[in-house]
Amino acid sequence: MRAQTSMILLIVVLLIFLGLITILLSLSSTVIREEYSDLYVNNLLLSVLKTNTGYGDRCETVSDLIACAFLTPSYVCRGSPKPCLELANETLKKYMGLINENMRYFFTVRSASSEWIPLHGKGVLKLEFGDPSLEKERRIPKRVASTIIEKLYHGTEYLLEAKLIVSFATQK
Amino acid sequence: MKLQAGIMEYIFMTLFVIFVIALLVLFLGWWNIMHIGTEHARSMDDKALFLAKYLMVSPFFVKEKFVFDDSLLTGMKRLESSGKNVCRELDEILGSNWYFEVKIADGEEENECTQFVYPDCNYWSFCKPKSLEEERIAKYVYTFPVNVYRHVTQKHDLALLTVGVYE
Repeated sequence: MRAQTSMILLIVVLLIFLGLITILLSLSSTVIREEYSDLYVNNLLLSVLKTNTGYGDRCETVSDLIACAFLTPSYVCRGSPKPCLELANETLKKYMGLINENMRYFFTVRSASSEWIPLHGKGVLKLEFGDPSLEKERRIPKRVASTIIEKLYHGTEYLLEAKLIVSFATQK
Repeated sequence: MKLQAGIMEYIFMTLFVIFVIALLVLFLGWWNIMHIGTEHARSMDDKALFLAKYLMVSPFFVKEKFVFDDSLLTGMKRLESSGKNVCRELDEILGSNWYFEVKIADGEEENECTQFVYPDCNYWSFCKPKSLEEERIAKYVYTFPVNVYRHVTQKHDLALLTVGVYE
């Protein structure tokens, strides 16, 4: 009787072991999906920043516009009806919607230097676009990409750190 | 009576062991099929991802990394319309059974680019299955945001690259 119990126990352990292997195998296939998501978000950030806005002056591309919104938020670019900060918000919203309207995003821009002081008291410490709750949410899957925007303004080079957080999960 | 009970117990035990062995054989068979299926899906996935990565840097189509060149894309379409089998030539480099398309993200309907409508167009497609039947089996499809450089306006437009591999 004791031998029988041991045998059944052994079989149960074996079945659990096989079940675990199956779970691990199914998990391994999601690694490729993660690679895709990382590439997607990285491409999204770089492509959006490079896109021409249709405005001139300091707002030619989205990265120019974001730099303008960060360094001189109230400046109105040539051909634009709105100041840089407002225009940057609208432009990002438009482009993100064109790429994927079901996507949630949070875009932040801050100085790469820790000693950043807003220019002439007009600049900002940090720019935020999109859904700020995305940064704090821990339970939903999200992807992050970041890059540096280089901007020459009045002979001085400024380095801005742009970070994009994206989630494809729908909001509760 | 005790002997009969012992024999019965022995028979039950043997049947149980046979049942477990059969279960194990079934599991291993299923496992093997699953593994082959997963390997196949993974290789198709790899192929679609590889194609997307290759196309985004290929000098045949891009001006710089992730920036497609509208004149190169339209030039390819022109070659296609002049009777050259561009797909077959690309197949020699990249393997068969795949397609890709680039669509400007302007929120407007697809207007395919040819030498006759260029530059007033927003869509290029290559090696796309012609029939709906074929399209249905294009299971491994990836989409990436990219840029398209428009030579006429000298501007970068936001676009979507779609790469599909069909069985």
